[in-house]
Amino acid sequence: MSDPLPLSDAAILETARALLDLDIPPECLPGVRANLALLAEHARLVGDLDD
Amino acid sequence: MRDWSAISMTETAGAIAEAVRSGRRSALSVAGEAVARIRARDGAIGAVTRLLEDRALIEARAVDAIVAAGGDPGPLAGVPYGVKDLFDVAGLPTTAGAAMRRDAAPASVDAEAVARMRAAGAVLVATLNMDEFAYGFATVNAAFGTTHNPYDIDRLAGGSSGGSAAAVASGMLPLTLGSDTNGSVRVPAALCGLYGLKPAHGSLPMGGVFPFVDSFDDIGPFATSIADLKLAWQILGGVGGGADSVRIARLGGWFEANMSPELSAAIDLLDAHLGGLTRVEFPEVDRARSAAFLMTAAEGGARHLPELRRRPLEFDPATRDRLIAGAMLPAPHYLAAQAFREKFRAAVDSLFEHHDVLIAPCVGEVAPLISDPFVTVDGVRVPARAHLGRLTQPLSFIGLPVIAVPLYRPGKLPLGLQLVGTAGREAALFALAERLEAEGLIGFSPPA
Repeated sequence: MSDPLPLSDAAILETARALLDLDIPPECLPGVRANLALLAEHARLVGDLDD
Repeated sequence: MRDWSAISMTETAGAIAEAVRSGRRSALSVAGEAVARIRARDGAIGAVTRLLEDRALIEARAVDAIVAAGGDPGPLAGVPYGVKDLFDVAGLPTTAGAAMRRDAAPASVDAEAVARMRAAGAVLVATLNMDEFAYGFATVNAAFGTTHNPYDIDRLAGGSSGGSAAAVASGMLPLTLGSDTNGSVRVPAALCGLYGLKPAHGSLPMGGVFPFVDSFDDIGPFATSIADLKLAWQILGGVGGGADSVRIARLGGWFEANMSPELSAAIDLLDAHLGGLTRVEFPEVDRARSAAFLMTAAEGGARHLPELRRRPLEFDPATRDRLIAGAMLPAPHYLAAQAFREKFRAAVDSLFEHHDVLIAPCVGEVAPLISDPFVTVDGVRVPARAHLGRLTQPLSFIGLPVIAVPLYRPGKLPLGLQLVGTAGREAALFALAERLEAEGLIGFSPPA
């Protein structure tokens, strides 16, 4: 089964730091990853702005 | 299960107010009894976060003074009530269910809704438990504990306004206020066998209510009778005349899937009682729920981003990781969800050209066990905290007014329905609920 969120932990941490000025504590990373994957599923279902 | 035989039948708010206004009972004695009930019962329930005895006695004495002077304290004279812990109460920090807010600056004034309740003669007795920052359907709170279902203390009360529901269902208070963003009044109302109102979005005052998702947040009351629910709605600012005739339909599709057999049978019975209802379906409900999920995550994450930067480890872990993920949601997804909402709203509005009330289940099964907090969706066990609202979320997504009503089933775990309407025609919702209550199909039956 493919990874529902094709994003490395390092990429998640760097994105949060660069775009949100947010340092994600290491203990939060598994939960954040799982929730990002869930949001990605919902986003796929909703589609794009002009769908 | 706890032995609830010592609990007397819950008095309605209307009956208490009538007794106090007529001078047959004092507001002070009613408040004192409510405080005593909370002290006796809440240890097993965990609904109350703060008992406001001093304030309650002051407000009750003021009501009694008006009665003694020949005045009218209002339609809720002496009625003890509580509020979810996200309403501002003057002099207290508004915790919103968060440990980090225990030391927040005290509110300088009451929330607008609390001020309106006080002006109507109601007496504030307690603040009530919730999921942290209202993000959940369980009322499992790392700082303030889990609220237990009065019908079976081994089960969830539902959330996020679980304390508000459990306080009423257990007979501690006849009336409480909660808030509903994706189902946070309706889910606990269903699991605790109560009436609960999710008003038309923006129709009741949000001043002094700690926000979660501006696009969906509303406040609403819990009660044991439709008369009490309507009274509270009117006092909070709800308006609407009578309803001469009510055109009723049954929501099918998404709303009929994943129901327990006993709930399905109960709705079939109600359908037959009403003469056989037309089934209607909302289009793309799964997409609507997903869009609501995205908007909730994004708005909630954005709101809490400053504290997530400053002290992330002080959040409830069950809330924090979802908020962080929400804050990271790319804007195009949020905008797509918003755009879809308008399409969905237009499609649903067209159904209300032919119907006044749509009937749907509220939660597909009875309250989950606290030790096994899962519900079944499409044959898969999924976490109750996120999924108890799958039938409520698509409705608040477009701001529809909904009354959650309890199926009348004494001695059994509660099951609830949603009566779904449209803004400006709430009278039809109340009219149908009044009829169903009078005919014995819905109604509160206290824990046995």
